[in-house]
Amino acid sequence: MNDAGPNVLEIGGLDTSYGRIPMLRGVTLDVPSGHVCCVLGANGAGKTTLVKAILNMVKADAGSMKLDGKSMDAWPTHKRVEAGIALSAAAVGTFHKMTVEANLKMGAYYINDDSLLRERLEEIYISFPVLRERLQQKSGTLSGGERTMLAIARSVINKPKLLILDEPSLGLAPIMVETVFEIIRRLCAQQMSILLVEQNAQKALSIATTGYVLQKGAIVFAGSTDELRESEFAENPVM
Amino acid sequence: MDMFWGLLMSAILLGCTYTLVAVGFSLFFGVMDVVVFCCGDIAIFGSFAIMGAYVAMKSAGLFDSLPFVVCVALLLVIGAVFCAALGLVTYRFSIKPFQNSSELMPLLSTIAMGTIIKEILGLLFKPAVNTVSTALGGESALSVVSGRNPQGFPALLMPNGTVTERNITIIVITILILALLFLFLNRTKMGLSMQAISQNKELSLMTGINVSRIIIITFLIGGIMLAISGFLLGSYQKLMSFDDGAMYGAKGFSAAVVGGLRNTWGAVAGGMLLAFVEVFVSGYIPRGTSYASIVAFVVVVIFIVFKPEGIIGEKTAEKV
Repeated sequence: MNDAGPNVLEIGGLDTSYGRIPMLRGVTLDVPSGHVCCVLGANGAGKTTLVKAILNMVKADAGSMKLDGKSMDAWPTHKRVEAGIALSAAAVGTFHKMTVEANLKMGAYYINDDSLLRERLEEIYISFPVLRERLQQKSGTLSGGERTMLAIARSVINKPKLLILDEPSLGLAPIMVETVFEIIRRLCAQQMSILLVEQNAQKALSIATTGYVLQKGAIVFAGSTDELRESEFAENPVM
Repeated sequence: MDMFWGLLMSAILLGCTYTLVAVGFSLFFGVMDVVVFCCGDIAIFGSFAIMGAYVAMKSAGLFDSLPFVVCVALLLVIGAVFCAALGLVTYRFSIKPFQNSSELMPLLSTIAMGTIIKEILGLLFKPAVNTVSTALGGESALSVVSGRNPQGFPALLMPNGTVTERNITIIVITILILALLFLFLNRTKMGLSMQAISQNKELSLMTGINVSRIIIITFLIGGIMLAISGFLLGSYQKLMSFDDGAMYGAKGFSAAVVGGLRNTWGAVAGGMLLAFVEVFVSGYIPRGTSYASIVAFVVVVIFIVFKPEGIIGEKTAEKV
């Protein structure tokens, strides 16, 4: 899908801090175009901070970030979203007083063409049949699994250059986890570039081509998923 | 029965004046999570800006050379510009610097901003320069004198009509403004973004909404609304005092709280409820006028205790 280069996202030497406490230290990471790249790590390793730093919702103290080879260090959050980075994080919640349909339309914030919007919504309804049944329901009343679906649907409606999934399996029943990963597999078959941030190592490794392990804010492993599977890090899924 | 209809009319009128201030509170609270305590003062600033501009335009002879309606429209625009600018100043100097500090900081700093606005008005509009009191006409408006340095608000709405006609005009304008606001909030991308920010700021950022720009626009729109509420307030009570803002702020804020702070329509309902309580208490209870505000605030307390989510607030706690 992307011909601009081998990597849709390149991060070099990223540092962030929370107040005076350093969070991420020298994180270097590439997301190859058209593939799934996973970042594994335990609670508090800095996964969510990394994801937010990519969207500039957490300020980077040092380091550089490139989207399709273009430096985006100076871009504010909305410009990064407009440029094609979509973040889906079920933990952030929904616009709870709006209907599911309104939530999806908010997701398509940068689609100004009505017929294109209708077309994309139709595609979403086909991929996420659960949501079609809930269109007029306030999103605050959705179940956890449905909310995760909505979070993913909301971000793929833009057909982003880079889709970031922050813990899509978090808090879901095993059967829902299965459904969610089925959807990710389908997106991946459409050659979407995905950065998958997960605690569920086995699930993540089953669809990713490259993987990183984040520990206490630093990358301690980088390589292909085959290498990762054989490394010590695969032993302990929560690390 | 006549008394009932009279009271009903004044209750709705008073409700209209509270409502717009309350809506201002709830708009600002929605996007900033901050109670902007100087809403009342901004509204009063608006009516004084209109009064000042009226004096200037009158002495420049504009009222003789231009049609009356054009002059009034011009005055409204001037008031709106002043209040929008004041809204921005409030945001820039008493809210933005405290974005990352405790929630109490912007509360205090907007109270300080309100005091500054009030005192500036007090200094600018001394009783001596009250040249517009003649514009009051023959009505005995002096019975509503309150506060210091009362200034006569020019009769700009239906200057030749009866009191009833003027009152109906005030109600119609309020309904019109609220309808416009409703359309703006629900039909435009900007309005939807404002609602989105009020519901989930983090997700709004992730959606690609330019949050800081929407916040600025909210303060502009809120300022314009408060200017109109100042204009209606002046037309309704005809005598304005520079320190009226504190009372209107308190009433508007209470109305917004009763309605559920984030809920714009709750603010309307709250404003009406407060006004009805006040007016009917002073109408039907002997010597009730002195107690009207007390009873109104008791109602507020009752609402805070028994229905903290607001009059029409749904229980919006998200399922976890």
